[in-house]
Amino acid sequence: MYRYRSYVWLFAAVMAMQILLLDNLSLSMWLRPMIFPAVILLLPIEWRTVWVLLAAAATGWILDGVTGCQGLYTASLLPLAMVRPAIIRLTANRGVEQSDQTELLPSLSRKQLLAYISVSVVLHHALFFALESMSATLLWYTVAKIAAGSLLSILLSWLVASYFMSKISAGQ
Amino acid sequence: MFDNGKMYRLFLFIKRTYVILLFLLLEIAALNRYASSTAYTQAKILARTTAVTGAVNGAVTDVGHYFSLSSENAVLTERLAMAEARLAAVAESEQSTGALSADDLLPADSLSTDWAQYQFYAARVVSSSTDKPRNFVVLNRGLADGIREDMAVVTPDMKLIGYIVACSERYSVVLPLLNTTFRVGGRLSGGNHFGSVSWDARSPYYVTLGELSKYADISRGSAVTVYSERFPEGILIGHVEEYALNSAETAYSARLKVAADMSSIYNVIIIENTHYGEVESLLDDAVKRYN
Repeated sequence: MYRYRSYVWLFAAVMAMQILLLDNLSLSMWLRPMIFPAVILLLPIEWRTVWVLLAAAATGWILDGVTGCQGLYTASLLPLAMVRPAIIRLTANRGVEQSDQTELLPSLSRKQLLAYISVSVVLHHALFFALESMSATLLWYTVAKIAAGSLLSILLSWLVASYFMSKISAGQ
Repeated sequence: MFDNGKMYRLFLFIKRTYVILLFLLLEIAALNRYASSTAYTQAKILARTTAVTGAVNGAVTDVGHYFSLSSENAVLTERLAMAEARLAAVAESEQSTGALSADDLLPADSLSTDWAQYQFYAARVVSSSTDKPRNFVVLNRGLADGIREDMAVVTPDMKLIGYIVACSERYSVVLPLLNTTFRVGGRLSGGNHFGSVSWDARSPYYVTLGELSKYADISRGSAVTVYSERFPEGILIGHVEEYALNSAETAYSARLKVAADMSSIYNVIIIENTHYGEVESLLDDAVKRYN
């Protein structure tokens, strides 16, 4: 039996941090940290993709509503939900069909967890900022935003994931 | 009608692909919501899709244009006559004094404009609309032709259409007067008072000139021209149809009859103000320093 209560807390904490803290920070025009993809990345791996897609749509819909971005968050989060099994297969070097979250995610080494989060966050940020600018003339500006934003987001997401994994492991 | 075998195969197909179908459905819905959220995203997406649909739209528009050739010819003939009259004046001036006068060379209605700072490009309308709150016009010139964002777009007889907000390699998208997000300064003829021109989406033939000083000498039929760094002086927006003071009696609000027939534009002129970037960066700098 999975700890669904932990996931509810994870969702609430990450969303609150994103909306109340990170969205209101003005660090630099290049730095826009986003940790909400962690909500989707840390969902149980054995969850069927259809449920992960619906979770991503709901998360994106809430953020779109709160920030007034009208579809941008949802459109960038859905592809991440779709390719999540492929990313974890790639980074963990094993199949996910028969695995479950209690076995797989906490069993990842630090390096593997970092690789899983990094690839996912960069993919998400690339989609997000490309959709936001939608301009070839702003290409280098967009690439710089993706690079700088991803670095900070990876660090924050990794901290959240490590803390969450340690709690899940301790509760098993 | 489907027989049982076909229905079964259809169900099998949906069962096999429903995750991808759901993903596509949700993604398209999200992108559609995002695309229609602001005029900027609408214009950007229109510029991208026009790269694909532009040729088809262009062919359809060409057929429609064939039937409006006579009125276009009349406008061009009138412009040619004006140009010839000016040329004759220049020749006469040359013969009598041996020197050229600026008055002979410049358009009569815009003697104060420094035309050397403007570059002109001819273009054709590929598609346009006037029936939505946020209309756009697509032109058959793009980055490859030297077209850039913020260039002005006018009719051949110098009436305001809008300005460019997005470009692809071969096409560009114009934010026209008939878009509720469009704003431009409008100056009343015969004076220096100006206000802000916008469209309320009620009629494609009328726009509103607001925030015009109560000291302006306004009357029915007064011409209103563009007052903006993007455009040369003398570009006509329309004529005052009716006007009234606001409730606080501090400013006029006027209803203007749009000069350009936005439902039948075809040949247009794109105007680049080569000083526009300099003016904008200077303004940005000043705003940063004193805001």
